[in-house]
Amino acid sequence: MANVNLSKLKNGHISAIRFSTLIAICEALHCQPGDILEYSSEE
Amino acid sequence: MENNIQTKVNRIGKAGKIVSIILIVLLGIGAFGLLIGGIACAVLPQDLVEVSLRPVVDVKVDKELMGAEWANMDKLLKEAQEKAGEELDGAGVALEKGDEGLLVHVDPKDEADATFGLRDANRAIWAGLVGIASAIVTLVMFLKLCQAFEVCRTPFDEPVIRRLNIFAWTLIVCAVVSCFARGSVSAILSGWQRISFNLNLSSIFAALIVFFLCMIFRYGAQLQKEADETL
Repeated sequence: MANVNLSKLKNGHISAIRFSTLIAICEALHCQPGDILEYSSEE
Repeated sequence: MENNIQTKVNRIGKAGKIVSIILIVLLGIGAFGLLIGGIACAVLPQDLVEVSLRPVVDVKVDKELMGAEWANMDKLLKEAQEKAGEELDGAGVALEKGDEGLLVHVDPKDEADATFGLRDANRAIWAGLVGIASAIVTLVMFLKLCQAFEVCRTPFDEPVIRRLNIFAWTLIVCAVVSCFARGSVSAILSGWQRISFNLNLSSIFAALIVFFLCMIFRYGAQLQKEADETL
């Protein structure tokens, strides 16, 4: 993953993710999407 | 944005920048010359020069075009003089048979001479300078737009859109100002006998197209933002 994308993740400038990217991350970390994504309400 | 497309956009911006700089320099030289002329007209004695323009038309009709009528030209001219001599004189029309054809000389007597002096020339020069100044301002806005294209990472960027919008507005203002400037110059130099103001519609259409481009680029900027925020 490029540094610019890491920076965007850290600073909250990401609003969407491609499925292909999510698959690549899960393959690299040997995990499921639910292991790295969590829903929290805006409250 | 792909590097080769970005490079092309930057190159087009650079080419536009060079062209607009050349045009600004040329217009600036013309404006400087007009300014010197305007100052000279203001400083010199006003009665030094007076120009009178009289509209005179000379038409030559070749004898070959007249065909068989040429053989009877003397008789036809005599008949015309007998039947309508007074009307022709009143309208300032003179018909003469030349060696190679019919000569028609029109010198309307009831039309006043267009006269203008140094003061009128001075006013015409200042009107022309206003027109040139508006054209230079438009070119400067176009130069700034090209500079934005030259350095942009993507054309769907806020500085580019803002400069496109400004350029469109200056096109409209320039069209209106140059319309009045041209009309004033022709009116002054014709001794205020011919007053006409013609708006350059092509500039207005160009401004409308640039406004449409602004809207398209705004939508593109929104899509660009969504693409940039997608991991």
